[in-house]
Amino acid sequence: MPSALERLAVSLISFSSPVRDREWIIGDIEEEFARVAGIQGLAGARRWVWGEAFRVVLSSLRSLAVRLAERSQGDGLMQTLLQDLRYAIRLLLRSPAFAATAILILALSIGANAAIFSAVKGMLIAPLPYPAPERLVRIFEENPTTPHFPMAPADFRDYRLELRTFESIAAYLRNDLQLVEGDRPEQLRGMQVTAGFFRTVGIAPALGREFEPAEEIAANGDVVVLSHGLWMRRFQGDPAVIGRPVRLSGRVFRVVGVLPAGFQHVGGTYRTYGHGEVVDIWSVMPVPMGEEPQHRFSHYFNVVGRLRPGVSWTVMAEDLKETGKRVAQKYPEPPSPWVSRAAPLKDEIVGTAPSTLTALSWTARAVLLLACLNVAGLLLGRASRRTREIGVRAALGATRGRLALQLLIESLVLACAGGTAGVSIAYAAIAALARYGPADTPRLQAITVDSGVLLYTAAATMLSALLFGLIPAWQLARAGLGTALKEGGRTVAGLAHQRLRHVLAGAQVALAFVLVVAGGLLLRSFISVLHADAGFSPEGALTASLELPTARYDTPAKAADFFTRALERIRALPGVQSAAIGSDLPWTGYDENTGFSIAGRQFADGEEPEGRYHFVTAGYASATGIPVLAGREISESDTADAPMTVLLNGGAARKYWGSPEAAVGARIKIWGRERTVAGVIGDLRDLPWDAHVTPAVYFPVPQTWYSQRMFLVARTATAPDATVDSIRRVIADLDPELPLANVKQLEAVASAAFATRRLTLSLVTAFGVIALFLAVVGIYGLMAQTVGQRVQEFGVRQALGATRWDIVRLVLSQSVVLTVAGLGAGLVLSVLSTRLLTSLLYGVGRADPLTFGAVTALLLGTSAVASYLPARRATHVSPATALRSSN
Amino acid sequence: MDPILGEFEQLVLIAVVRLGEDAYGATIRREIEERTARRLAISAVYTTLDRLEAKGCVRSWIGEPTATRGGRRRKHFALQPLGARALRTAYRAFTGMTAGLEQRLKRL
Repeated sequence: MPSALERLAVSLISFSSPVRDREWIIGDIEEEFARVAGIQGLAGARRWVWGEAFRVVLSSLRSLAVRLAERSQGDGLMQTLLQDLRYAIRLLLRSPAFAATAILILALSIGANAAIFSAVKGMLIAPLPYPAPERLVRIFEENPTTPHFPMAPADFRDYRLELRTFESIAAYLRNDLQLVEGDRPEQLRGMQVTAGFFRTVGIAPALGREFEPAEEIAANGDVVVLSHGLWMRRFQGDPAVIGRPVRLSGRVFRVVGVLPAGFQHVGGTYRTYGHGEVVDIWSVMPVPMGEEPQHRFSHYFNVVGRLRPGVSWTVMAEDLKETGKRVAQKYPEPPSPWVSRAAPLKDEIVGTAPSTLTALSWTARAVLLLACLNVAGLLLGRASRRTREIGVRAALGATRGRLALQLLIESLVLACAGGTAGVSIAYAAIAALARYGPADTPRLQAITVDSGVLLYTAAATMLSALLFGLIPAWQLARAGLGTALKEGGRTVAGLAHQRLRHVLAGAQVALAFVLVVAGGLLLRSFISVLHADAGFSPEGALTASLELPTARYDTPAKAADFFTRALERIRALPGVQSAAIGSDLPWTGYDENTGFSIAGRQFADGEEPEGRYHFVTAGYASATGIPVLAGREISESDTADAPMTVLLNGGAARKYWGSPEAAVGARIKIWGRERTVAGVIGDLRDLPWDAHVTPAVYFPVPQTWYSQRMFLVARTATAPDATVDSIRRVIADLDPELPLANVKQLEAVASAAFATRRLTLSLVTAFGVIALFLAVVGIYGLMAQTVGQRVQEFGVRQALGATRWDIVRLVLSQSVVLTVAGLGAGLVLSVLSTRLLTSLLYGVGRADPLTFGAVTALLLGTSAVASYLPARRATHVSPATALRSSN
Repeated sequence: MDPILGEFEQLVLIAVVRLGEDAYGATIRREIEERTARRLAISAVYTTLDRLEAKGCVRSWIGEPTATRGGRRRKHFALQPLGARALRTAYRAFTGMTAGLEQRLKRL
């Protein structure tokens, strides 16, 4: 079956078919699907399979109904239940408004829970798409000041030889290539991997082979493996592609393999595509054989390994430690500070999702609880109105238990209808997440509504039915049935119902308080983050990535020359205010670090200065909107022949010199050369809500650079999109084989950093709004009923001289009690539960008085209005009419 | 006493006769859909076939898994003598009742 939609239809068919025949039925469906697709195409086959699902489900429902109808004749327990079922369905059909309301409320809450459970299941519970995924491990190196670093190449080489507890390990790094075929060069998404990478991950190529150790030597490394998607798209799925030469980034490569469809890269956080992202092409990662210092000091190998079967974590950790000791002996002076550490691959892929998902799960459960309380209140209200029907049935011989069972079955029917609708809502929500959700959502492809989710939904449905069904049923069983036959509203049963409904309404207020407070705290956090000084100006700038192929730009001088000429022309374009090129864009997770030394100063071991390093052209600070704090920024004068300069960021200046001004003119030594600090520019955080700033160093491209992907930033006066084509032409004029890729507004890049937070905020706020609505409507319904039952009393009071305002005050005093009680309970619950949110809060405490105060006022206000409206209506009835009315 | 066949059971048996060795769920359903212009649920076909087998009118055997069916096996059906007799009885009853009425029935 091609897609999830068809698989859902097939699941439905399978579920509705008799178990003993499922195998051949599904086999027939597959066969027929292929046959219809051959005649009417995929669209026709899709229509057919959904039509088939509809027919099968209908057929099974029909035979079920027939069997039930047959069996419901008689007196046994089964017959009783079935009669109650038919009666319940008829009764609900007779009050469509009530049924629709209850079902809608349940559908939304159950659906929300099902959707979030799908996310939890797909992200956290489902195994990764590799054989024996629990044995896949990421290996890092760390030292006392730097946890979680990639490995150095020579370390990787030695570990690969010496580790005993691993079947194999492999390294990978992002390496985009440009395919030049036809008129337009295409920037391919590529990864470099060492030999045995695919074997380590557990997937064999569908065609050809993967890389061999001999190809890890740079001279032999002109081989590539294609992804299935690239093979179909640019090579027409031709099986003879193996051995074919292909021109990439100015060199000729040979295709040696094609991966199977659906292969997913393992991902990571440093210079690699993420898990689940498309990777078009795979090339060989050269592993240096010598013992140059940089092979030990330069850390850029992402490493993944597969443990031998049966190896425990402690044994593996011991092996890593022992191997680490042996490797450390090979380090030149000073001795190696690095130790290795492993982490399960899944942990890295999943990232911080667990805390967000936990917060969302509890929020959804709170909404479901609230919905159940609300529906219980509705049912109680309905039960009060059915006292006569119940009384008659009791008189005809029904026992209390029997009547309670009847109510329970009605609840079950409501819950099942709600649950079924909820599944569709969950399905739509997940489709929306896939389409509009954050681009970096981990394991999005594993989030589906499958049988596990359906089972969970069924359980939630049953639980809800019990929750809201037991209350009225128990109430009925307790109350004296004789009193049900009496007329008038103020029966014992009526009063007990009232009290219970007040408690339920108060509980709903409490839950609504908790949820609205959560939404309020997240909203304030989000606003704080948005208003925090970004450190740069996202608006009105365009970005794009440029990767100069090393074949044609093999010296920094050639690259610098290209950048200079390109920038000259781009700056001359109409509408362009400033333009520059840099090694990275803000808030994108760039993480290259280096140590440096400061002339004339000594530092204790482990405290040597270090910081992020960036490569920028002249004018980068102005193009990006970073303020210059002291001195100047990189300018045209910082050429290859000029004295070596660098810029620092405010964080570096303050940390090592005390202030930006003090750092200007200082001399520091990086990578063997002394450089003067020409200026200090503003700080950029790694992520918008990071508390601290990492020191950073900026090299001028003409003086220091190595081949890597660079980013153009062009600040425009007009709408940025208008200038894109002109910029593309400039680049194409200078180098026709160089594509301009990833064209995005800087604002979009900045906004993407917030995507997950924004989604969490939207969801929690939506839940808060639903909760508030349910609680307030619950109060309204309760007050309306209360007032309705006290009409006579109010008539008497008014006849005796009470004013309208006195009556309204009477009613309001009742609701104030329940609201205040609910708020009190909600306050306690909130204080306990906001702990779940701490990782998501920014700039606001988890017991923030402003938020709590505002929500309290909101709830008091809305519940006052909800109580006032029915009270006001009651006072508009004339006392005479009121006295005459019988309830 | 030979079993009395319901209307749908008759259609299924006739399809089994027509298809001979090629008689399994998908082909039987296709045959009936094409000749009677009715849309059938595949589960209804199998339910009827199971019932016919229980009555002794057909026998079934499981075939080998095939790739086009996602590696699933196929259940084949063949007419049994009891089924043949029941079908013949039904056919005779129908033709007996409709003898001479063909034109009128077609124009109804």
